[in-house]
Amino acid sequence: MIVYYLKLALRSLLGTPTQTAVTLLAIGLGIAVPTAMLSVHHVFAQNPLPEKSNVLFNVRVDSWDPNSQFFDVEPGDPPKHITYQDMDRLLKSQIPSHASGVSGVANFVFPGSPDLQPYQARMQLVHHGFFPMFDLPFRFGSGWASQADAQRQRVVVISQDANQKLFSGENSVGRTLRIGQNDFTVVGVLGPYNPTPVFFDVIRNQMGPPLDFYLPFDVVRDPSLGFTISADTDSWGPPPPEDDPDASFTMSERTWIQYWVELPPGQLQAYRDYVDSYTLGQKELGRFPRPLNNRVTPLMEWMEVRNVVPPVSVALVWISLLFLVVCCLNLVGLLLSRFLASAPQLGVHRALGASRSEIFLQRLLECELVGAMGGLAGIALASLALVALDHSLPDRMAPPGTFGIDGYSLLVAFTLSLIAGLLSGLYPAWRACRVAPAHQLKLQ
Amino acid sequence: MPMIELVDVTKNYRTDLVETCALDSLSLAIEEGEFVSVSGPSGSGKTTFLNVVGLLDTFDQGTYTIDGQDVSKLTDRAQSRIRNEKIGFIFQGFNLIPDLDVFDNVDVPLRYRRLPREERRERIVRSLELVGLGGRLKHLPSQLSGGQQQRVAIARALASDPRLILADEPTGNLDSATAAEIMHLLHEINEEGATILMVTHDAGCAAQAQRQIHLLDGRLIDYRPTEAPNIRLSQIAPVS
Amino acid sequence: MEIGPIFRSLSRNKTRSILLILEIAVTLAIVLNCWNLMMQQRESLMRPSGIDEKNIIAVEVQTFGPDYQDWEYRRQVVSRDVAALRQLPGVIDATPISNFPLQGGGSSLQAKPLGARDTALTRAPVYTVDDHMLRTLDLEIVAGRAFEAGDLRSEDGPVIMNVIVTQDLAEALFPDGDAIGQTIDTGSEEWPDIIVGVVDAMHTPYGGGPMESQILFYPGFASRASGMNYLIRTEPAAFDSVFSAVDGVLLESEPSRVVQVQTLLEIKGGGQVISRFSVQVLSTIIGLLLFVTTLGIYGMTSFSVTQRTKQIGTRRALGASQGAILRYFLLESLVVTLIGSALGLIAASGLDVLIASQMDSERLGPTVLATGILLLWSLAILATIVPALRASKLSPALATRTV
Repeated sequence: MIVYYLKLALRSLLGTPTQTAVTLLAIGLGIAVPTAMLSVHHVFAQNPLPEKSNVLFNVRVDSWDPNSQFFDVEPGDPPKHITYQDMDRLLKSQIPSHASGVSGVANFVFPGSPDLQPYQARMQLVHHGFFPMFDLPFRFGSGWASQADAQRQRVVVISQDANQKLFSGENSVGRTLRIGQNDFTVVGVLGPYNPTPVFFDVIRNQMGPPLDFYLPFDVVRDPSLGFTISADTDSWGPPPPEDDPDASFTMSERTWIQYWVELPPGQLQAYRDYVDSYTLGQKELGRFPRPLNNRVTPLMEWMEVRNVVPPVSVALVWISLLFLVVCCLNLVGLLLSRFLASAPQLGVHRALGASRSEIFLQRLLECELVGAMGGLAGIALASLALVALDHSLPDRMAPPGTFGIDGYSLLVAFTLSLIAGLLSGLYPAWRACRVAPAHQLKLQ
Repeated sequence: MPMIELVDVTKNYRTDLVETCALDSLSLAIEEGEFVSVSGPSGSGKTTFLNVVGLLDTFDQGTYTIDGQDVSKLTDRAQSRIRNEKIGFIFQGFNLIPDLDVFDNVDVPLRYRRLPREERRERIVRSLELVGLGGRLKHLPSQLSGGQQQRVAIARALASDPRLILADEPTGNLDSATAAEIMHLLHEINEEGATILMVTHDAGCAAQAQRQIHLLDGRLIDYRPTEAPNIRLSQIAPVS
Repeated sequence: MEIGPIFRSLSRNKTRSILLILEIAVTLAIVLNCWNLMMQQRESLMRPSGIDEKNIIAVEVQTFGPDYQDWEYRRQVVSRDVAALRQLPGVIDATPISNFPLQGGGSSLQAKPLGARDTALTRAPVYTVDDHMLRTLDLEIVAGRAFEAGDLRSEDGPVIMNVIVTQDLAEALFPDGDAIGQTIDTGSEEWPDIIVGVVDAMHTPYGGGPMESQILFYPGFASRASGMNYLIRTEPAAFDSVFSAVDGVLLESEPSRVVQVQTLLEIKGGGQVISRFSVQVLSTIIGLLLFVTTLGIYGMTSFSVTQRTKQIGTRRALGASQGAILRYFLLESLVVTLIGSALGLIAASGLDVLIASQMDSERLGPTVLATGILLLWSLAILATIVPALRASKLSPALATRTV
């Protein structure tokens, strides 16, 4: 029967092409705007690592100046980064199954091939735990072992793109790459890897793409390697002693590192206690002048803390849904006129034996059909809007292909159109099934 | 037991200010197989009477039974089922569904009856052939003449083998030659055994019925020509 | 004249009127709030930077090799570069700069009057520029003096520096207005800075807040081992020719470098992406909403005209003038629009509160309210007048025709 009703609905829609086109345009616009907005929002808000996001935590400790609020966070929050000395000591905890600092440096890459110019690149400083913790895919080789961190070994993991560019896509594990004045050995080549957002470095590289080079963190401490820090660095307190070049790492209150841990199930409280007792110990040494204010933040919560989803994007999603409401109100009016105009035919159906509930179901299906067709129109309009958006934003914000119609958008459009069709159709369909057949059959 | 029986049926139409009595304590019984015409001046309640009999409209007082069943106690679904299975409607304005072709128009009541595909097809073809439109299955109503449209409407009414045909001015929108054809068709259907109740203000049409009923101000003046023999089918030969 | 009949007719077509009233209300609520958000975003886009941004070219130079590890070597390169750039015809002036202004961020530090408590710390974006910065940026000295060649750092390492601050920073640090000659502490009491000049307003986006116009300038040859940046201000007419010549001038003296030339407006645009994106989306939504609602009003008036064709004919036959018919439909639509607007205002304030709780935004102001409502009303009249005119032209003869 459903199929028959759909056939009737289709015939009836095709019978009034102009009216149908106006109706579809009206609901199509209504679907397109929230679909586009939700797709954009989804890109910002999606979980970059769904299978592990609940065991990954960002760690912050409040080592900041007692007299001033850190400026790039919500009032009352500790600084967004931690200091090198805190990272160095927190790394010693045995509770996390993996842990890594994350920051950035800049240096020059000298390609082996004479055709390629040397170029400057931002490189990611990480510890060996970074690769297993965040499940980075390897095409060749692997990350480095813990000794490489301790010994400041000159090793590097490069991205698939960099491997293509520098080594023509061959297995480059064991080959050397000149960074600055020194040779580094390639130990791993990543497979395709493009998390959105780049969750482990949202402070500097939110929309990606991820960096091409990953280096053992402590290479930055070797002045002969010529790395310059490329991260937001915020300091307070007296400058470290001039005579020790390493003091800016080991003794300063400079914050510049995002610190990540993976905790085994059930260990969160234990780790929080550990971090607190660490800071209490530091207080005794005269550091951490502010009240105890440490944060072990789950990954998705950290995305919120850092406003990975721009607040305006949330507002736009709500506004676009209200836009759909307006379009639905319009649709109710259109459907109502449509059904009342076809009241004589409703009378015929009733006379020929359709019960009220059958008429109701029939008309509701017609509304759902309108909704679904409007949904198709909406997807077409939304994909145009998203393509335009993708072009209008600079690559730094959104690399080409960031925004577009994907499975999520289709699901959103489909769901919205069915809900819109249903809600807009209920009242007109109810009115249609209440039409008194006797009054509709005489005239025509 | 009469096929349909109305006892003291009263129906009033109310607007904000006026109350009009459309049916006034109307009592009537019709036996299976009768051909009854209902006539009366405009506003006498003819159409209301037909609507009440056809379960298209409610009434305020009295009882109405079909095959001994009191219809006012039935749910909408059960009433719809009676309309679908026992009653066939023929309207003055034909009331075909403009978006559907001839085949699909005749199909509508059969669908509501949830008949299997083969049986529907058989019935549609048979009833369209009966009205002489076997070759026009795929035409849209707008591509047919008035007479042809009314034949489709008759085919649609016949397709579900109803025992009662309700016709509201079936010839009202047709020229006299076509009207005669339609009347001929109705007589044929009556011969086959269907009861026919026909509203008309055309005295010529009314005269062709076995029994003539007059309505005036919602009251019934039953006129049963007992002495006159039933008009035989052969006496009203088609014009064309 | 016909308010009574209009209300009775509206209440008979209850559903359609209610639908339209709701539609107008929701539309108004959204349009007003979108408009408000958009004006705020536009304001931040339109906010003057205080510098001659249209005529400034931004040059980023990347350098390679151990020579550039040496500060003195870099100082020579920078001096040679800016001297060469200033020679270009059409160039008003040029300066090295530590990082580009207007890019939405940069580098900042905290400053306080020397010896003051740490609670007095004020965060300020900081730029290192040379003694040509006033003319390059088109800033005016309002107190004290400009940088002189003698202020420029002559060796690497800590020294006491003469600095210039914007008026806003001067007021934040020294509310009494005596900033000139004061010493400030930017992290080291041993090496404080002395304010020698105050410039007029400059503003650079830096994540919001007052720090965006509290700017601190250091004198020096801003450079790193990995490269240096220059700003060049040109005569408007010479902008394009200078733009294409920069590359050659810089590579002539030091070929082993990579030079990237941009306009300052391009850099500014990059920092304003979210704002511009919001303005685009918001204005699109406003436009679409008004379009859809105008259609809705048009649809309802058309429907009500069609429904009453015969009635209109009768009225005309009974002596109603064309103007009276027109007036009737306009009034009907006006009543609906007014009720819708009233509800819309309530909904708009509700939405406003909701949005304000989600993000820092300014509340709805009377200007936005007035413009939004007037715009909606004019569209409502427009959407009514077309079918209403059609109705007024209907022939009185329709009264006698049976439809």
